[in-house]
Amino acid sequence: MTEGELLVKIQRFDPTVDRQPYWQSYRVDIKAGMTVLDALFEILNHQDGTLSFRYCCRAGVCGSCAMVIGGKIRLACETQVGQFMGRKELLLSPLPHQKVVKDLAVDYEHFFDRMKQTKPYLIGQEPYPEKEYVQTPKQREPINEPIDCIMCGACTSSCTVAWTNSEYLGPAALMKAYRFYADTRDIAKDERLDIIESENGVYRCHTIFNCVEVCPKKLNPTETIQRLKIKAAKRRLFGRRRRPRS
Amino acid sequence: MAEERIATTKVAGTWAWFVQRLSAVLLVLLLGIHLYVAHFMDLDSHTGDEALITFEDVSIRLDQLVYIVVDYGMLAMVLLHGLNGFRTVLFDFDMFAKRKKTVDVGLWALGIATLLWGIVILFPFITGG
Amino acid sequence: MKIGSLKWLFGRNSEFWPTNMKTGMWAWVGHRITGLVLVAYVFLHLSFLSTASVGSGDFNSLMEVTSQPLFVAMDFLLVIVVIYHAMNGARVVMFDLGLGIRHQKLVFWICMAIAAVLIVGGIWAIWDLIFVPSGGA
Repeated sequence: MTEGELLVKIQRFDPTVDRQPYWQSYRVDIKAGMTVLDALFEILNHQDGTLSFRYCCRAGVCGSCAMVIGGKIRLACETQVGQFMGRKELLLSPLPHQKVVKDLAVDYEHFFDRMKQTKPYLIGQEPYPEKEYVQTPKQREPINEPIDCIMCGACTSSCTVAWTNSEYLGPAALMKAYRFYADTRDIAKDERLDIIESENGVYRCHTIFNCVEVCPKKLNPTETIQRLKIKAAKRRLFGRRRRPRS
Repeated sequence: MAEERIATTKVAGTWAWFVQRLSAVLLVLLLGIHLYVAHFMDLDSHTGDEALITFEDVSIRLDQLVYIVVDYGMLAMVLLHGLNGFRTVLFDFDMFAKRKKTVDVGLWALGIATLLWGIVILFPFITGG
Repeated sequence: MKIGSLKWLFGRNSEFWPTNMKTGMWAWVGHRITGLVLVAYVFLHLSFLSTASVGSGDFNSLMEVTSQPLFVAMDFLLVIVVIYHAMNGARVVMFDLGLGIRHQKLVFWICMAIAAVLIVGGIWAIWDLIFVPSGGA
């Protein structure tokens, strides 16, 4: 049963006007193959022009349309709305614990702030190579997964610790840190461990696995956090610090 | 500001995490001993009621140094693990994470005071009333 | 603006709504609650003993009191709480050693199976102590 009418309830909130969010109901005609994003467009174009949501690529690459769909954070563009036909209603709300700009669109500033703290760029060995850094498939293997992160914010929004502790880097930023830490072309290993090794870094992760549950790319942020945690703890407890990069 | 805070919590973070795991493993062992000693072991068979713990039971047991060490070690580990865990819970919230020093000092004071209190509690048993 | 009201933070579409909570979330919430309960218990345990450590008469009468049905029920709860906390703790330590992270749900259920066996065993072990009746806090 993938066609028919579905009751879609959307959490509406305009900070300039409303004091509290409220549910607004829409009846949407569902056709086969329709995604949640398509349903939102259906509402926007034919029922309510004031509805706000963020989207861009419509193909699960840009990470703009992450939102809570039926109790779980998913990408609106990659979620078939037909699967919810059995339910009496489909609830849509913005990413939790983030600043709401309007309705389903949230402010990513704090998310990217934390991402920037981890220096999410390659720090290479000088002199830099003429053409490119050569990497064998085997050397690429550790970062095959974390490199697929689209920074949609689903994991960090689902993390209850990142909610109550705003200084906690969060799964997305820590996975980004691991992506460069594990990169064989990157030489700033100690510097990277210095950043993530703190009470607001890896040690704030309590292995709740919410981030793994919601990741639309099926990545495993918890595993990367644990790997960083082991590296950092080993270095602090048993290791000798290598000389910092000059 | 953020960078400064990260720097100050680095060493403490690692140790708090490590000590929590270490004390957890020790606690499982000590708790097993504690429960067995308190409820199942019978050092003094002529007190009649086997199951009921009496003052004399405990006194006789605490005549031996090893049980004093077990009891006090248990208390120290419980307080370390419990209050360190409570610290983790507190630091999950901005409200307390901002006052790291105050929370740390408070929890250490509470822990040491409780340890001393616990040590004093066993005195009558050790001296035999 | 961040939404701060409980209705939305813990509402039907939130990660705290019971039907939305996943394995790891249940494990963590349980670990938190049992942990806080156990910290409270330590202080309760000490204050009970401190009221009775003045003399042998007081202590023995306290032990009589603690063999009442109410305390027996508390002992049952304590066994369950301690064993859950210990077994989930074992799971957390495993993840910290880098083991079984990809199979976290399976690991959770194995730990819970062991916990269930230990709880049944633990209750069987204290059964006699409790229903003779006598016992202790």
